[in-house]
Amino acid sequence: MAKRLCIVDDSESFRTYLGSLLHAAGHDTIRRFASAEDCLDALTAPGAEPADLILMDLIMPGIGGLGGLRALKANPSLADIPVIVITVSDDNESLAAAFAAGALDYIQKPPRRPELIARVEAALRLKAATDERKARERDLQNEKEFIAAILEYSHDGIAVVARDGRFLFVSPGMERIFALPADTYTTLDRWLDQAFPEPAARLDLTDVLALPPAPGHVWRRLHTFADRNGQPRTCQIYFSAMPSGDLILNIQDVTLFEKQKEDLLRKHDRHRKDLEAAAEIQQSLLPRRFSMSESLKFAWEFTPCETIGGDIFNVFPLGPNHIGLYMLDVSGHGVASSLVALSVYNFMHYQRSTLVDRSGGHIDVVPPHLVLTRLDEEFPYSKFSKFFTIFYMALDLRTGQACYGNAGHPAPLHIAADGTITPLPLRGTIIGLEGFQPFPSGTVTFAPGDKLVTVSDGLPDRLDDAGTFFGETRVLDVLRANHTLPIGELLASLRQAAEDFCAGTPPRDDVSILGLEFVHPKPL
Amino acid sequence: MNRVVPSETDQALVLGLSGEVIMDVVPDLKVEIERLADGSAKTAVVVDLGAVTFMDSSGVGLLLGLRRFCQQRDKVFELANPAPPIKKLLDMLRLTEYFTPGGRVG
Repeated sequence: MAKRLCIVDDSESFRTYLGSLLHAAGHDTIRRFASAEDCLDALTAPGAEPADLILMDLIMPGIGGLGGLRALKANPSLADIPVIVITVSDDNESLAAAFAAGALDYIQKPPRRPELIARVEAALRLKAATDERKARERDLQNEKEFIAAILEYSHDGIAVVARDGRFLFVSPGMERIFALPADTYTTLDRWLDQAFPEPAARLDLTDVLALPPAPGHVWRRLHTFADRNGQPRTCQIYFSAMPSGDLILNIQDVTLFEKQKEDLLRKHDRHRKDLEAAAEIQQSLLPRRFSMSESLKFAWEFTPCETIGGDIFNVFPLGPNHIGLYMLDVSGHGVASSLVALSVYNFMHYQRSTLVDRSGGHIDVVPPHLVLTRLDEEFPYSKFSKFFTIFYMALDLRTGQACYGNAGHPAPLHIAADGTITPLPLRGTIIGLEGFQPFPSGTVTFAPGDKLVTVSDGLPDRLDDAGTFFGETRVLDVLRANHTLPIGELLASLRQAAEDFCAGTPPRDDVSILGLEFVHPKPL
Repeated sequence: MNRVVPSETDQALVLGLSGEVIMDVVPDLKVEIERLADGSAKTAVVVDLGAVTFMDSSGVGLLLGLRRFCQQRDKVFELANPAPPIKKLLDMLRLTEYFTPGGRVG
């Protein structure tokens, strides 16, 4: 950048001559003034171009060179501009006064060109060095103020402790967190006494401080401290060390956060207990008796998922000669699903007119596909935002003939006494679509020794820890291998096979298994 | 959460789902899909199940709810590319026809 020079001399011819010498030396930015006052006015005018060097004649009208020099040095914005004074002779007294007023150098009239240029260049180099140093100082000052502002406004408390336990630095955040007087932070012991009066908390901290982390490592711990009213609060302290061994403590007040965490855990615990209570209610609805007739045995296995699911099943008498059996699985799990399951249970339990027709003076079993149609009307998806699958069967104990309806449920398996397994083939859509399709009606006949096993999709969908499904094929394999077992043992073997396969991985959905064994026809 | 990847054809907003569509992710998916469907001027919404590996009953419930959501906004709702296990699930529930455009409104 071109250097900006000022020549101040009351002789126009000298200003021109000096200007020509400087111009010849490569300086193009030269302002010329006839008096010190003009120069001062120009440099202090608003938006004035600054100067890098002033060549000032000492003897001029007005305040003269000496007065001008003093005025320059008295103005902080101009004081750094080096001034070379110009004298007519070797006037020691004037020179001494000029140097005392802040002149950097002098030259005599008439100037000798090499001397003039050498002195001007030296003065400009000095000005450049001064400017650079001042800029560096300004940067350092800005940086210092920036760091101080960070420490001032940071919510964290930051402290540095020497190896002998003296505090080397304490940020204002420490005062905000602990509200202790400044003289607390003399030694670590004094601070611990004041802020951590509880012996266990103090001991915990003392242990860390006795063996601080190596440089580059950070330890983090929660500590209980006492606020100014002696009330317990919680802070999180990050311990780290500088290469010198000085310990840095970075401290956050996490009292509110810890309280929120506690509240959340309490709510979660309450929610879990609610779910457990709901699960107990759900399980209390499962059938208790395992034989309601000598003609029939039944059994079940139920493995609930962690959050309550929507499976329910039941076996119950339908008049003197029939039994009804259903298994339903409401979509999703959780309280909403279990409530819908409970509603369906109540509907099937108390609305028996849905299941048996007494209008003809005798008891007629309502065909299962009509029962499903009725359920579809009662439980529309649009009302509950839940759908369910259900298998419902009515079995005539006198003949072993059964009719069934299936709304989207996994096909129940008919196991003949010789081990032949046949899925019951007819199946309609889920309950909740408000008459989307009619439900087909199926029949099956049980010979003595035949069994029926129905499961919820939670069984084939069980996963092992590698993410492999238990699957329908394994269900069939287990039933085929164990078909001669009594129904209770057969179902237990199926549940156990799934448990062994999953090796401790909990089910993601309820797992329900319901089975019946037709022993012999009920005597007429 | 599972990401919903939106794209468009001439007539339809296509929303690609992936991974397991199960109870844990269904609430977030529902909000995201309904937001995208509401923000689209297309007259059809296609949920692309090509990258879905597993769906539980909550996932099926999501599809039923979305179908209803679209009906209420006079949009056609359609499923596309179900992988074999998802197709098997929809067949077992007898829902394939229900999710076919032109199927009777439930």
